[in-house]
Amino acid sequence: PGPARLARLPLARVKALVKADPDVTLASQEAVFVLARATELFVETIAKDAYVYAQQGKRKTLQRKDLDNAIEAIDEFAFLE
Amino acid sequence: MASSSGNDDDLTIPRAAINKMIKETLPNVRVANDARELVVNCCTEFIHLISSEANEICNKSEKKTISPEHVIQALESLGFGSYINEVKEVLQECKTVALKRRKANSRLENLGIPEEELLRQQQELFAQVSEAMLVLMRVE
Repeated sequence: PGPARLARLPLARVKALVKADPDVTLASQEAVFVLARATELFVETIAKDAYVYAQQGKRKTLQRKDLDNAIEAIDEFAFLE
Repeated sequence: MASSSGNDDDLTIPRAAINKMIKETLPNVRVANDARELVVNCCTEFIHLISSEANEICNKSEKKTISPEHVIQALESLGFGSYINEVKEVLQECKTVALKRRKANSRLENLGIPEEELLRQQQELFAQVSEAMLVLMRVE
């Protein structure tokens, strides 16, 4: 929980992104908080998943194509295609 | 990088926050700039995806405000159920902090009124003591 706190996303920005959807009326502060935490987890997950491809390519640098590969391979990331 | 255009479509999570998260997740890994850029944009898409779904779930319920439970259900239905346990921890913290704040506020309110009342009673007592002393002095 310690390090995760430091990486916390700016809640105001997350809230602004939620409100940018014209269909969305109101979201509670706790809902925004939960969504922010989920987004942090998303970043962690996609970074780790992409890194697997960098390792397969014997690279120490994560490149865009590694993310593209992860997006293509993983069902939950299909919305990013 | 201030967004002065006011165009909601330009909204993203700040690059610095993303960089920090990537660094904490992959400590000794170099990350290409266009990869970072992609992660920033993916975050925006993710937030839109989950909040859209949460909004639909909210509409089906009788509530007008998207609740954390709606977000959690959205995560589950979109295949991000593995995030739920950690997300619930954060929610628990939220509620604990809110509860502490409410308790602290109500304690202050509870002290306020009786304290005024106590002061009033104290003044009365002092007045009575003064009177009693006067009577005693006259007697002596």
